[in-house]
Amino acid sequence: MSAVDVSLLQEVHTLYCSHHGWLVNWLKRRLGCIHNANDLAQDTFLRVIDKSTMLTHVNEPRAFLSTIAHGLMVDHIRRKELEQAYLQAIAHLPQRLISSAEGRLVFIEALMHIDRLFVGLKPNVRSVFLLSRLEGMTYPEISIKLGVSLRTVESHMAEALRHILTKSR
Amino acid sequence: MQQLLSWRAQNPLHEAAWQKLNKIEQHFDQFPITSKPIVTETFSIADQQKSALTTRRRRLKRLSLAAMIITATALLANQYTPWHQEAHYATGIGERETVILADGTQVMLNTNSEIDVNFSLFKREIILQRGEIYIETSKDKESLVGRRSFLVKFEQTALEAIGTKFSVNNQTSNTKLYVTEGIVEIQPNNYAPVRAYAYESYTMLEGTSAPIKINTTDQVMNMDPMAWIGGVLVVKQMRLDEFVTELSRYQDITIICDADVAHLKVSGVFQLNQEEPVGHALKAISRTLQVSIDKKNRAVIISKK
Repeated sequence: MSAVDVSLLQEVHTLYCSHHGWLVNWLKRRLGCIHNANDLAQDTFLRVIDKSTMLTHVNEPRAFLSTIAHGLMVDHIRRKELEQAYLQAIAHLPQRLISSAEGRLVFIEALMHIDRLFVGLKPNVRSVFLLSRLEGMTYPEISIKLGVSLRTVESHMAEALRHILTKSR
Repeated sequence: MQQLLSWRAQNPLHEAAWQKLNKIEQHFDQFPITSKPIVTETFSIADQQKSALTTRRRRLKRLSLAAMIITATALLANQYTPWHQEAHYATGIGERETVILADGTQVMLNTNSEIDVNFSLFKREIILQRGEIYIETSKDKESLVGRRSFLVKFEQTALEAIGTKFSVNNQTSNTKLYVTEGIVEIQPNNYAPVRAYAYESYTMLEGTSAPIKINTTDQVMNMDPMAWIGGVLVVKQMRLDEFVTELSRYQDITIICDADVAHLKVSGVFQLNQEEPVGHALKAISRTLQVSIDKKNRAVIISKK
């Protein structure tokens, strides 16, 4: 480990000592649960270590931490939502089609990935894109399934593509 | 296929777009054929739940606000309001005090000043009974209803602070406002409101006229209006009689300034944080001005040397 790394870790350590308790409280107030708050606080510091090259520019440590924590919290809540929805979606499927717990984890991860791609867009835009690209439906089929005009399907598709191409990397 | 290839070749952007799309769709290969519809289904269930949740939350919010207003009215009727902060602060002659109010606002009272604090559900109000205060308003983060308005009232006028630092000096028959940060809206009883911005200063005569703006770059400003916060008096080319009036606010002592020295000009920095600020200040000016200082009983007389 180089000298630079050591000093960075020391900075993380200082950050941890002076703000970890505060962060856990901050998260607990928002999540209403101490266990999740502890986990997310831990994750937040993991993120900090990952991008610790930026640490020297941190003037407002609490604002910095809460920004990261907030992002993680949004992810966490969204993951919960998707897990719930997934369980509902498979509830009526025959047992043999349901994947293992491990498979489920991979599945949810993939859902999260897709979800992040479409942040900020109307849910229907995502639906159109998925029906077309994932399920291979034609535009007229999608228009019937979603109960919208063909024109809307086309414009949603265009919007989805534009969004993905300008955003993802 | 040929069409696609030529589209990709048309523009490097098209090629980049194609690559990106391809990469995303590689994720889709992780899903076995049978579970593909589950993806869309999961998302649509999640969306439905989310919109149901937000509607419910919105309703709940509206409901709780209504409930709050009802309780508020009931409690007011009972003359009992738990979120109320009602307090009274006062300083004697020569004292200065900083108080931090329930919302985090800092108020500093100068010598011989008195305020009443009235915080309620929808507004924060400070009534300046007499004297001078300096205020740094807080963001009011803990409030139940978002940022409440912040008012300083005296005589016929209300000052509404819009995220600010400012001082109000209420002396016989006129009140001065100095804004150091943000905006303060002056709302006189009988005149149109006026907005005072940072580094602006206004004087308000007792109930007789609209607020008058003081030109702060002018010679008129012969005293730093905020210096007392740091415990000093800073004056520049101030008439001796005016200086004496200012100085006498800080100590319970009568100072008599003879007419033939009243016009002399005083400049300097004078410490207020000591036992006898008047004695020290006058001693200092007697070194530069041709005056003599005599003490008789509880009065100080300044006369020509």
